[in-house]
Amino acid sequence: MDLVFEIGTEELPASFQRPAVEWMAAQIDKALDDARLNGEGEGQRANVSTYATPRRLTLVVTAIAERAPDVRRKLSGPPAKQALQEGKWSKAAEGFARKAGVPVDALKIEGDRVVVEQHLRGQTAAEALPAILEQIIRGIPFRKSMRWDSLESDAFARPVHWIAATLDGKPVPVKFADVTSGTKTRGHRFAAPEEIPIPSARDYLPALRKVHVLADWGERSQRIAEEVARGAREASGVPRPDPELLETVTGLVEEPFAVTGWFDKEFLELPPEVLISEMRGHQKYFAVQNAKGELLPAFVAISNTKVRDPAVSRKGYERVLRARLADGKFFYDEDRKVPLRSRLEKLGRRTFLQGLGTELERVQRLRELSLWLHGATGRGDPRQLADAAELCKTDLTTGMVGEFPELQGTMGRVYALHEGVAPAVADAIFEHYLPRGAEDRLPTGDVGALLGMADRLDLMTGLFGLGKEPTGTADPFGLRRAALGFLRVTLARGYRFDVDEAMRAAQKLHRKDDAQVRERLWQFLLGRLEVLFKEKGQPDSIQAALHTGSRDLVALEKRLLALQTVREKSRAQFEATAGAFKRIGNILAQARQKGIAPVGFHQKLCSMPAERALAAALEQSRERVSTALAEKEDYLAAYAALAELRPVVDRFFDEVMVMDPDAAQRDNRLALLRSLHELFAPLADFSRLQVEKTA
Amino acid sequence: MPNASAPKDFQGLLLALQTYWAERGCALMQGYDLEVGAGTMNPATFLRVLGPEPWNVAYVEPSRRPADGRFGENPNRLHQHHQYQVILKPSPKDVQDLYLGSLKAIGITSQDHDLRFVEDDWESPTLGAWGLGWEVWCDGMEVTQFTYFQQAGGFECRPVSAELTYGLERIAMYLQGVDNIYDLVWCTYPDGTRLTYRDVFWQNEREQSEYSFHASDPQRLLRLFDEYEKECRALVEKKLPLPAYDYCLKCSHVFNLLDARGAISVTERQGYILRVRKLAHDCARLYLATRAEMKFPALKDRALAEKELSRYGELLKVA
Repeated sequence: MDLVFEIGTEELPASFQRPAVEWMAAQIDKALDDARLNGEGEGQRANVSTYATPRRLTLVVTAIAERAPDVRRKLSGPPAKQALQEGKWSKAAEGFARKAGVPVDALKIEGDRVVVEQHLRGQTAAEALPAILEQIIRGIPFRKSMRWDSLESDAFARPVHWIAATLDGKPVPVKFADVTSGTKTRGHRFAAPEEIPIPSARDYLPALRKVHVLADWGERSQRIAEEVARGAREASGVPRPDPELLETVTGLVEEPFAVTGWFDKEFLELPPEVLISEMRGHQKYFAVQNAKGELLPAFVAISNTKVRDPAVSRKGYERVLRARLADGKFFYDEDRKVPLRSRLEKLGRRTFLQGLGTELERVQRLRELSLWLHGATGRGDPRQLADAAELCKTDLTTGMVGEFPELQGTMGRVYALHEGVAPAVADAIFEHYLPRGAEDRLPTGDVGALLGMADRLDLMTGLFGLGKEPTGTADPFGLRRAALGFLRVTLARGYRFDVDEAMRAAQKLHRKDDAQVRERLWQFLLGRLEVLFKEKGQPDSIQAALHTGSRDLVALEKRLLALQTVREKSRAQFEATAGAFKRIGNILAQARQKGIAPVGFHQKLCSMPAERALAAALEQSRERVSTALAEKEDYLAAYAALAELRPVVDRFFDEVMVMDPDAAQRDNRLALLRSLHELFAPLADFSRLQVEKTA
Repeated sequence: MPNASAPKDFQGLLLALQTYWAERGCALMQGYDLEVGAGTMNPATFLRVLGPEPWNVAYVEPSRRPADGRFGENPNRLHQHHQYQVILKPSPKDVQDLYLGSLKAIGITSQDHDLRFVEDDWESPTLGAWGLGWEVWCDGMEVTQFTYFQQAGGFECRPVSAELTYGLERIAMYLQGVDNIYDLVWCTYPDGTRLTYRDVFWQNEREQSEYSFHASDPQRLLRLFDEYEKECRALVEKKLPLPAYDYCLKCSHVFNLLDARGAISVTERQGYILRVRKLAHDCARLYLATRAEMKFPALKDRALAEKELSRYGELLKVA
């Protein structure tokens, strides 16, 4: 059977539409499963399609089972001696029967319990759907919901005007807020406002097209892209690609029409970023560029209505943009009258974050911390770093960034270049914000990279120091993003330093020195590293490599890559080696628990050949392994040495009993194992690996 | 650009809106006689959206934003602009259509213009008020703020009011096809002389900007803020919510003046906002309490009034 379920609303926020229908689709799929209605026939599933526009959220589900199969099941109730008292069913038994929906006579005693055979008639889709749909419409998680009129409950993203719900054309009764479902829908708000019968599942899209609604998101988005391209051609250009804007505009119209407009050439003096922000940010216009990627003095606006005379709307669009660009020009001219460096004083009057001082104090910390990072990594030019640190937040006081916060860094760079600041410093002002999100690019120079790391480290240590750590999904200060940025830049640029030392340096600038806070922050960073490394190794490899004591991020990554390489190349051999090391770890741990603290290893105490062989092999490889690990960071060579040792280790375990009754023997053997274990500890924490137990 | 039925001058625009909303059952009122930053702050909105009593009203609100003053030199920005404010309580189901009808009444139709409802969540931190709705676009220009009030003074709005706030100068510029506010025609005298926006407001813009940015005495303003705050609190103590609210408005305006003067640091700013919000909250609570004490006289349905009263039991203890 086919279901059409459409919620008709006042204009929904663009960003709400797709998540809402995706949630609805997942819910109906689950609800049909629960009701055993998901699909006509054995092994089949219903097909769920979703459509969304500013004025409607729609589910079209085909091939729903007409009726769920009947089921029999046995329910077991209270113990027999409570249920049957003096040959009569007790209150407890009566209650059980009532709950199961059967007469008391149907109860039986089986063993020591009362049971009943329940025969459940499968619900029809028509019976099940009203409740399912009401639950869905009440459950859609919107970022913000509202009430309207005098209604007490049933909030929604915007007021609901109609609900159309049909199953094979027959109405499905659904009530929500002040709306009772029917079998009518409406077309485009202006082009076809009259009610029309809700189309069948098959006809839904074509019928809505006839009333000027492109209900399918992909189709509408595609049409907008075509319209924008057509509009740009009118201005002899091509649209500047902007998938994010395309997505937003798709949520703003039901039927798109492009209108091309122009602005005065003189505004092209403005930095392109400003022009683009003016066009896309407030106005949702698409910028137009030539083949070389240079902006043209034109834009494409997407109208929701095919107006009688597009020249009228065009004039309107142009007027608004002109006023905005004039404002932008005003800011651009005014901002350049005040050099960036003289804006530092203004930073002193801005609070950075409650408890973390002013923006000026923050900038002073960034200067110190980026120089510390320079000292630790040996990268970047210290003079440029100091300059960039001082200037990097000054554009926050400009009129342009006040108007367009997303231009922070961009304007700083533009104004710095205008003032003749060294290009490397100007670039760093922009690049220290990179990456701005998971998909964003990374800084290309050391100055911006180190400054950005200092910025994030300062934020993280500062807020962790105030106890403002992210909890659950709440991360109001964007600390997860800051952590990921810090880690990504460090790893991509191969910066070597001890993160604990860096945190300590950052804390010092906050006039703090708190090892507990550093440890919490380190654990938080490890959590982010796990996310970052997800693609690079299996979860237990990541755990094993990250917990090797090092706080040098590059080293941790190398350890993970080596571990994963070895693991994949010779799985069986590796598993055996790792298993042996796990065993050694366990023995040492057990000994520790028993309070046995092995003292130094003495060759002369070795009483068995296998013992001596292991000691000799260990001595032989010690030098090579230490050099490989400590100096060359050749983890693969260390793994090779480890693999070579395995036969000797196996023999040792075959022939030697570690926990010898003779305490001297026992301690000497433990010492030997500990020495072996410690040598290879930087490779991985083998205890965290999940490997097959070997004999 | 606008069609033939569009009002020809600024006052024609006001008249058209007044007529339209009067015909749809709104009481026509006036802007408040104290300085306010927006029509929302007029007690005819802020206090009347509280509680269960219906209220349908429309008025022009001269709205002062000291920080927006531009010495009469900017063609788009003013220290004082005019809002057309409509409150429909409870929000009628067809409020969007009613609104679109008002645009038609001033010559803006969907046949000729791209009219759009674009998400915009409204919030006033000083009033402890928020709502959801849209900014309404006409060919990419915001002409109206359309809000379903959810909270005011920290209290849930039950029922919900629809608030329509038209930016009159902007709309008039559009209708008259001028790019400079000061070129707007206010009205044409019988002898054909045109009274322009410049004639009416330019000197005021210059002087008020001079006052807000240079001539005001921050120390005196800070003292005034404290005094007005005290007065507001004292009047709350005396159970006089409407006079108390006047002083809350005074505080808000003085705060705006201080802000424009740059006399409040970013850190202090939040503190002042919270102080005004506290006053607004106390006034709202007291207002609600006094209405409840009167058993919500504007509710015709007395059974409903009794039912609503049960909701305000806690507040009645305040009154």
